[in-house]
Amino acid sequence: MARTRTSPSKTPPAAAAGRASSGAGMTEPKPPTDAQLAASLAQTGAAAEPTQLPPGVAGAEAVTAAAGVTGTWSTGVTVTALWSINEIRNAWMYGPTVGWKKLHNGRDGAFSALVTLASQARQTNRQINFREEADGMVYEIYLW
Amino acid sequence: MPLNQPMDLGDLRSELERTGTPWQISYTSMTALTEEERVLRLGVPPTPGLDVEHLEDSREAAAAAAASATAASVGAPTSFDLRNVGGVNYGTPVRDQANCGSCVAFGVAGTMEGVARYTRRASALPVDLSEAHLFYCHGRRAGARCGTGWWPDQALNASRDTGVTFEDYYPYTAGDQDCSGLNADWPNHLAKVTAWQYLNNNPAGMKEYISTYGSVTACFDVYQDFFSYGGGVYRHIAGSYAGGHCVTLLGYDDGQSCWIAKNSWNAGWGEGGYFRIAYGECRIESYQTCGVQGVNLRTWWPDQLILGLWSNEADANVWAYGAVRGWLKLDGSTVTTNQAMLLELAAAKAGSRPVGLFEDSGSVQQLYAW
Repeated sequence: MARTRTSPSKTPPAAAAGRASSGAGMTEPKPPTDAQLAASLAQTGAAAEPTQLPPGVAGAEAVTAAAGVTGTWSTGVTVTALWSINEIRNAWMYGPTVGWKKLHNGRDGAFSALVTLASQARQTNRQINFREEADGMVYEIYLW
Repeated sequence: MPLNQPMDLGDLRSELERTGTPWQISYTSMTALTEEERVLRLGVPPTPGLDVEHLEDSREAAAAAAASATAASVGAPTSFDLRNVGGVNYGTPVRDQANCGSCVAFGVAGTMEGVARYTRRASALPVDLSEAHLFYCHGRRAGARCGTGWWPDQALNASRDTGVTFEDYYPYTAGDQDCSGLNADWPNHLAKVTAWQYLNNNPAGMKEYISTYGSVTACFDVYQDFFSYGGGVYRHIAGSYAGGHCVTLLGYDDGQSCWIAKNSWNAGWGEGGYFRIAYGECRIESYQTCGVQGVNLRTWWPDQLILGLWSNEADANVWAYGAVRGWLKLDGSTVTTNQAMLLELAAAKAGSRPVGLFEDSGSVQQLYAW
């Protein structure tokens, strides 16, 4: 069967005015080398551990305000749709306030974890905070 | 330990008034004790080779050095109090060493507890460590007894190399013991210092450590007037030398030029068990000061509700936030194990069900999801 699309083209049923992503990171990925991954981590300033606190936990506001790396943070996002295709590490999530977002496709382990978090957010209707880098992909997710 | 000459509280009151009342005198939990009992509330040997008559020779210079080593010079806030960091109290309760010169165990355990909570930003972390394990097991092996006292550096080496169990595995009671009260399962219910360093004569470093890690351990010279301290910024006003003492420093204030300390004389003494002491006083910066950089735990955390899950672009780097425990990394030895743990925790989270986590050295090694 021929592949026709590498990014989702439809909006979820409830999102009448939804917007599809322009398709950053749409090409089928090749696994990065260790050096490439290390360089990517260094470039984004990715934290080795979480710094934000769950809503309602003492100190959450102060820590959340101080957190942040080079990417753009979206907070309080509800995930209402998911998409994947028979390509290596190509999965997307959809939020009514953010549109379609591709999950970072660097390594199997990290990719699986991000997909799990997005899927749990969809299943439980719990909010997420996520970090998006310049390539348009989601590199970090907090599921509350 | 030698017995000390008691002081006349009337003379102390007069001297405080004459000097502008820098701090308040009070009838404290220490006031009614005999000199024999008071000296057992201390517990740091004198600095070898240092003449008691000359302990305060460098008092003014030390105060000036601590004041000039501003917190701002090391990028730290101008004041810090572990009991109120953005409205959150990361401190643990004031204890009572009672009739034993075990202050070092309390000063070190208090520091470890504060660091364990603050570095995890987990204000409710149930980390009540066993001073009895520290003093009656590790200290005893090093020759420490209630009547001799001990040194923080030795206690910290033991806390790093062997670890300290929790209070429920060896509850503290005052009086020399042979370590027989220690629960045999203590290696599975343990806190370990990851690393520590001397901060003697380094007030800027002390401020940096306190504001970064939450607490440091410090020794100072106690004079007779200190037993009657009821509040304010303490300075030695009157009374003879009583002995060396060890406490946990959990704050400082460059505006007031003072350190904030947690004592181990119960909450009926001082400012609810705490005190403030002026920069440069009683060799607080130079006697022996030690900073702890982290505390690893090895224990079960039962009945944790998972409030958050997190991952980023790094492989096998998944963390879970337990309601009491705070953020904890899932075992990352293999991606598959990591993913299995994530899925089980996600299932528990989805159902708002409690989990049991076994933590060792900063990561989950085993879990139950009920």
